[in-house]
Amino acid sequence: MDEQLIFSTNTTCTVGSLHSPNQTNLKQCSNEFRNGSCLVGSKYLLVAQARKALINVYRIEGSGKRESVEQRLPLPETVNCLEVVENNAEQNGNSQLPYLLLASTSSGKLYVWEMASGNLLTVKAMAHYQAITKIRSIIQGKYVITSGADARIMIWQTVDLVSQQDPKPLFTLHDHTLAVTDFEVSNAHSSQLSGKLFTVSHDMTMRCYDLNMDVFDKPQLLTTFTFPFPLECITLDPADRACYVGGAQGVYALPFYYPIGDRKVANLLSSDSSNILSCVEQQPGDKNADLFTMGKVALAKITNAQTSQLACSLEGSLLVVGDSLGKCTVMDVYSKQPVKEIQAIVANETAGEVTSIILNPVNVDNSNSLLGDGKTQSGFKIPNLQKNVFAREGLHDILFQIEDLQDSKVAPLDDFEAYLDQVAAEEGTFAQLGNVVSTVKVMSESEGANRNPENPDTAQRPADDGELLTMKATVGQLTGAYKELREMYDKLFQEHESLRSTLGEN
Amino acid sequence: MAKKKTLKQQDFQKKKLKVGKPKQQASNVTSTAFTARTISLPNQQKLKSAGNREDSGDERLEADILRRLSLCKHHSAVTRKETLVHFKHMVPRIITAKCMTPLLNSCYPLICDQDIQVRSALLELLEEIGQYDQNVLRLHSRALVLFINSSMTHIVPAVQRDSGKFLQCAVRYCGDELVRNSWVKMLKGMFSVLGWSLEAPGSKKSSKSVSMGVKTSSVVSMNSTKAKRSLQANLETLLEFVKCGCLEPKPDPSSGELPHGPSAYDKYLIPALPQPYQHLKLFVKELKNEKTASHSKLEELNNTSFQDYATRREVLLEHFYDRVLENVENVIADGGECGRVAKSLKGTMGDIKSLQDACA
Repeated sequence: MDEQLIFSTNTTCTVGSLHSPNQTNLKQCSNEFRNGSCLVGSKYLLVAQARKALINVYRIEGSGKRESVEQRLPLPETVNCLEVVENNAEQNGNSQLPYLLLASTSSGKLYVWEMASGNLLTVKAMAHYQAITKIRSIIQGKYVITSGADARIMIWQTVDLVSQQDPKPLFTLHDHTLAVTDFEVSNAHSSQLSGKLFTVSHDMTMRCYDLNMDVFDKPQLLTTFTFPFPLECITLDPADRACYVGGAQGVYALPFYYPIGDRKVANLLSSDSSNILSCVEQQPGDKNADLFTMGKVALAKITNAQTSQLACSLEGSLLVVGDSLGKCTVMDVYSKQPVKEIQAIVANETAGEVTSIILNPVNVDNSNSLLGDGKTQSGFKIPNLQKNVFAREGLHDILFQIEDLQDSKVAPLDDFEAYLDQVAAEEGTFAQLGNVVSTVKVMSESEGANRNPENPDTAQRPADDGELLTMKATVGQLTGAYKELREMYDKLFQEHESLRSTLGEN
Repeated sequence: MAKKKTLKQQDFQKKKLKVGKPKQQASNVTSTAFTARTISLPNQQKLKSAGNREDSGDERLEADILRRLSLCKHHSAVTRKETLVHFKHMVPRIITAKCMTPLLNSCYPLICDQDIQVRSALLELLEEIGQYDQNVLRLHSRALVLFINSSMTHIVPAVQRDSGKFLQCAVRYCGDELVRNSWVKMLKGMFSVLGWSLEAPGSKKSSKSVSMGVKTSSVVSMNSTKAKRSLQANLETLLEFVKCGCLEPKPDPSSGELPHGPSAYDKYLIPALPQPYQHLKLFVKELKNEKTASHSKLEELNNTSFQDYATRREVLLEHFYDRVLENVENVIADGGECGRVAKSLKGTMGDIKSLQDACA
């Protein structure tokens, strides 16, 4: 297993990995705004281009992975943020495409496309009063949260976005006073709207809301943390034990279970009352308990870099810090040491700031098998995104391809017995094709069709016989009818001849 | 006037050379020139950081360090030693910088260096790093163990003798990680450094050994002072390693806090060690061990990690206890400094056994 790190800067996009030195640079990619890239499944990466009304699609996994652009999707205008809503209605992962693609523009407009058909389902004109900074779909795609530069956070229901002409958000949170730059939703949630929402903004605060609809009738503000500088990004520990916030002056680690003194731990996110805690950098000689009574929390500073994006690894011990110079530093959280630095492979050194980071665990093929399943899968194209809003009358056709479920192929070197069994099974299938049928042919047609459902030839035989009989009957009828007509014609012709001859004589 | 030549004769005519002009190329020459647009080096990483050229003093220092890294592989031992001494001076300023990782990656292979001055300079460098920030060494303990192990089984006896010193330094700063991840590996290595065999005296394999006391070349000259000093150092290292792994630290009675064990919720909070899940080997590609012949249990335990004191004590007592006692008797009989260390080792082993019997 390995963790794939995909990060884009203002002029480049790189696919690297945390634990091995592989790195690829994706061509012709430039991203101007934050959170402008998203992963579709595990194979495709969509990146919104800077100053062009295009989305570049790259294939980054599997046998057909390439550095060049796989497909370009033209759009009505330049977009800032991208997000996909996954198709979770089907239990088996047969659909290759997610359900919706959401995109936002600098004026606060929100576009909603259906990916399988390319139809533009909704355009919400003033979703936010200024540009939208991040879009995320939560609770398996049932809700969508958007944050904007107008200091608002809106929680939408996906159903509303898709079915209503002018969708209204479910909740609007306007506690922040400057642009909301980033937010994260906790990993612990149920199938209804629940969990915690952490938002950071340029107004130097981080707020935590509780979204549990069983307890509160609207999202409840639990705690506000104030920091000494404007915050740009936030990421959560996978078990929600801590969060890491970053800004122009560095990255702080904020543990939610804050140790004060001897064996006492304070839960910073309790829902007693709306707390305001101010966060300061930890100095040696601080007594946590004293500071806590004054409403202060002493935090460890992980790095001083000017951070623009953060991501946390699978087990929570590594933090990826994307800074304003275009490089990603992988740091160990406990010892605050940089383990690795990843940069785009470009000649010029003006990459710009890191605009988005995606951290994704992938399976690495460790077997020595020489066979791959590459050639059998053909690439497919995402349908072009429409520019006109889909008219809701008439048929709504969606073409979609169901993948053929294949048994995994076993290589002869891995397990020879299993390989022989597999070859024998394939041989058996081949032996059934063709005109020669090895099974017993049953005389009556209906019984034959029921008893051998898996053998297509014997089932087809009685059906063919039936068809033959009906066709023969029809032919017989037609020939009979023709003969009659022919006889009638001959008779008439002879009468005509005789009449003519009698007239001719007279 | 030239006669009209036939086509056949025209083929054999040579072109006249012109003064000052290049030789005329043959008619079948093909130009192999090409312009390379980009070269992709997927396995190499950029060492220089992106950014403007007005570097601050710190960044210039880091760039300087990174340039000197290749000197660690210089053919002259003096250059290598000077590089290590320079790094040691730089440690206070670069201890939190990102160049520590490449620095340590280049320095660890020098544990197996053949020159004694290089090794002693490296030892000083590691001590210095440990003094300033233990966590750096703890983070890279995996690589350190790899090189210490290879030095313990090195064919040059001098390298083998010095491996004990490196292990001692490692135990002091990242002992916790070492005893968890590589308990059996280090014990086996120390045994081979000290020249003690791991098989029981009555088994068939011992008949292959030549004579009683001489198992490895590290004890070739048994009575020289150098060998005696190194024997003493290695015995001390073994003693420290065993103590670190098996004996739980007693709570300090002088500090005001009451001693308390781990609380019930500690395992849910963020663990206070670097790389806490390294022993699960999630992201490491391990080579499959193809040996299907039956081997002793010790081989199987080579790569297992032991997370608590009781397991480590059990492994020690089961596989190593008897061998240690036998060989320690010989050393005590010789007497001197080594004898004293050996006696304390014997005492410690006795303590461990009684502790384990009491717990069991």
